[in-house]
Amino acid sequence: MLLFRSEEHIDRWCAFRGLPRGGTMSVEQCWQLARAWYGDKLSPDWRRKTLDEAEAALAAIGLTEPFWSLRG
Amino acid sequence: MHRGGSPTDQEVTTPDYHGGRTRREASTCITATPVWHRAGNPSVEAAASCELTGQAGSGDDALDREVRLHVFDRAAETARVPSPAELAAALGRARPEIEESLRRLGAGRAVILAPGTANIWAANPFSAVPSSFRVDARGRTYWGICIWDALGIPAALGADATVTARCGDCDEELILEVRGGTLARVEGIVHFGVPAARWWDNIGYT
Repeated sequence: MLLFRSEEHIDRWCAFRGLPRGGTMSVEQCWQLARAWYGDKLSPDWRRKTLDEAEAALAAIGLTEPFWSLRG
Repeated sequence: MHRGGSPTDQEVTTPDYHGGRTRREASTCITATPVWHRAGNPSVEAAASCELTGQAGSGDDALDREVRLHVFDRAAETARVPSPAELAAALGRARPEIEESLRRLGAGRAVILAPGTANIWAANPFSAVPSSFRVDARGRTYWGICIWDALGIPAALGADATVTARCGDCDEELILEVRGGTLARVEGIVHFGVPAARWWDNIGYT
């Protein structure tokens, strides 16, 4: 889960390591995901998200492609 | 989640995260990264999952909850993740008891332990060791083990923050700013190398 300067830098990083390109998101999407995922992390009532809740958090920021499916 | 070596007993408090295409050792470290598996003990996982899912569970639930809350409280307040010894002293418990609790919490993914130890590597979003993702908030310096966690720190704290990261390819510094709950400065694009269904196959690599 890395940050890159640009799409070109992602492509170069993948090529250098012989890795397939994965999934990308904007920093804004990542921020919204971070808020959904960690916004209540310090609450005494925090509990781990269910698969449905986790997938809903990803879908809420537009990540619905198979790459982002937690169920495989 | 990281680009460099993994935290062993010696490395838990020694930063050794590096990356960038000019550093060939980074790819070697990635391939040599030990695998963080989910705990293979069903009873441990079941006990941990009860506390973490809010369901009624074993008598260990109360201790696990106490440990978890203390870990995250200390991480948020001090930017440091406590060690098992520190937890034992703070909570007035025997160290073996605390370490067993941490293993249950690790099995339940409430924390990530350094392989083969009861030392916390990350109480997500708070990294126990310095990394390539620095977060300055509340007058302190925190660390995330990835960009998602780095942004998770101001989200968890409800605070303004400056995230200083480095391009995974060229190592150029990239700065993000959170102000009043929104992004005030944005640089770069986020890339996940591992499909979501496989994130926990090797969480250290992810």
